[in-house]
Amino acid sequence: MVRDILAVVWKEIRELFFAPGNSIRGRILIFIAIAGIILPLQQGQLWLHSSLAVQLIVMEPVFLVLNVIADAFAGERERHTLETLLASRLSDRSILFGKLLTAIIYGWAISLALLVVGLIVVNVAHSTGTFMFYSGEVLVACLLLSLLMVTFMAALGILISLKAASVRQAQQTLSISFLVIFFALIYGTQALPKDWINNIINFAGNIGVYGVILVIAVALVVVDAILIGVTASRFQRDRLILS
Amino acid sequence: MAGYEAICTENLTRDFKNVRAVNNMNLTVPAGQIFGFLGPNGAGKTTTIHLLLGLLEPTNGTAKVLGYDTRRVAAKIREQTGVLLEHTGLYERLTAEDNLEFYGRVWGLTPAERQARSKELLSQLGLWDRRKEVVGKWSKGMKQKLAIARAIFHRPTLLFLDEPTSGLDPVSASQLHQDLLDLVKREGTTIFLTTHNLTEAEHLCQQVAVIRQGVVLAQGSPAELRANRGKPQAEIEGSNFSGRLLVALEERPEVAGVTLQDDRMVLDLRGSGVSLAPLVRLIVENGGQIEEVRRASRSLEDVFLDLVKQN
Repeated sequence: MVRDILAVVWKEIRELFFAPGNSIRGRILIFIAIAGIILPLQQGQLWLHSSLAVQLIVMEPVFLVLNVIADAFAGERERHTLETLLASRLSDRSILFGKLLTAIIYGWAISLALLVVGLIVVNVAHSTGTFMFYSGEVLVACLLLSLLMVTFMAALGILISLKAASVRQAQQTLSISFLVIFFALIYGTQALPKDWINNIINFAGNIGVYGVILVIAVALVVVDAILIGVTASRFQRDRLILS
Repeated sequence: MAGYEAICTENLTRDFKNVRAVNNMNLTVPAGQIFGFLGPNGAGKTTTIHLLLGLLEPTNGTAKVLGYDTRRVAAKIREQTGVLLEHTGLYERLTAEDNLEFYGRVWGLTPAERQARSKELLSQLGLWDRRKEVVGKWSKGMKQKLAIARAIFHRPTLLFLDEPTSGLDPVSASQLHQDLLDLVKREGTTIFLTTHNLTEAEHLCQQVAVIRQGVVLAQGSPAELRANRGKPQAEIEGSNFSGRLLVALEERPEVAGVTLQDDRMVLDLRGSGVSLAPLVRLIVENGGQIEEVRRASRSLEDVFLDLVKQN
């Protein structure tokens, strides 16, 4: 099964990065220029300890994944390659996890690239004579939460892509779904009774930054697991072949 | 490989809401042969292939492919089959080489095997020099050739080909016919071929089935179908075919009927084993002048059209 998953990953990566006329490399460079070069240049040493770095390094790859994951099944369907893929010896799980893994690798690799480029920029442009590194909290938050967030987006994207009639429809549905979830979280939190908000703040204060990261990570692991489970259960060859 | 049934269906049925796409289909495909599956558009050919590959569940009945039940062990079937379906299924943003590389990986071929097989097939199909080109820019015929290479890349036991020569020029189509015949001879591959090209079916297939509205109307070798569906005839070209001669011919017990069209006389015979020599003698004795005598054979196309119209 691992070999089959890797075969799918190989194909997806070839299509993603090496297809002529693909604008993805340009898009990645723009994102890296903003969150890997310009902002670290402006912020200097502060960048290595700031929550802004965490927000950008976690969220930027999510938007890049959103852009490509809609293509997972809707694109295969649109380009008439899905039927042949489904008629191959690959198992449902191999196809599904191959596509999921590609999106996760892609998103997480961009997070890592942003971390590395930002680190180099700060050390070169704002040199103090000693090597500067990210604070533990920023590093852990970036590594762990970006992985879980791109997994969330990849799983949600594949779930939507399984049903969508076209790539465009999948992208639109995915964007709207993501915005709904995003704003529901913001306004939902604001709508909580003040006592609850105070309790949450106190709880966060008690458990510390690492504790908060851990709580968010656990919540994301649960959500990701549920999403992947639902996606796997929705992957049915007979439905896909008829769609 | 030969000697057993590669495909065997019993009352195979598939409904889509109110439409019965495949209706109580009983089909037997011997291994190591090219089997032609003929039918007009919408006859249920593609649905049948989907059922045989285990991509769709039958509503009723069973199908065994390479000895495996399509309901229970479809994965085993797909492991040993190659497909070229209605669409080529090629990744048009990838190069020809990458398309084969991917499916080589899917079928677990080693890097050396993939490279060798890729070179072998692309050279054979005249595509080796263009292997690094993106497939999307190719002509339909070239894509079709590459899709065929992909379908046979892993040397499948059973090959499903849906209109494989569609889009190919006559030279390429003829080359493909020869390649398919060689493949069956050399490797014992069974080929399940759907086609609208009845001359192609007649040339390639040892067995054919005609399907319409999900029902198998006839199955057998092209020769059997022709023999079962049409009366044997003799065509005689010449002159001086008098009325007296026609009456004399009609009185012969082996002749069922006589039709005269200008200088061409058609005799409907009572059986394919009827000897033409006494009839020729009779014509000559009655003053007829013969230029040419031939047994008329009905083409598979005639049989197909009869079957489809009748049903």
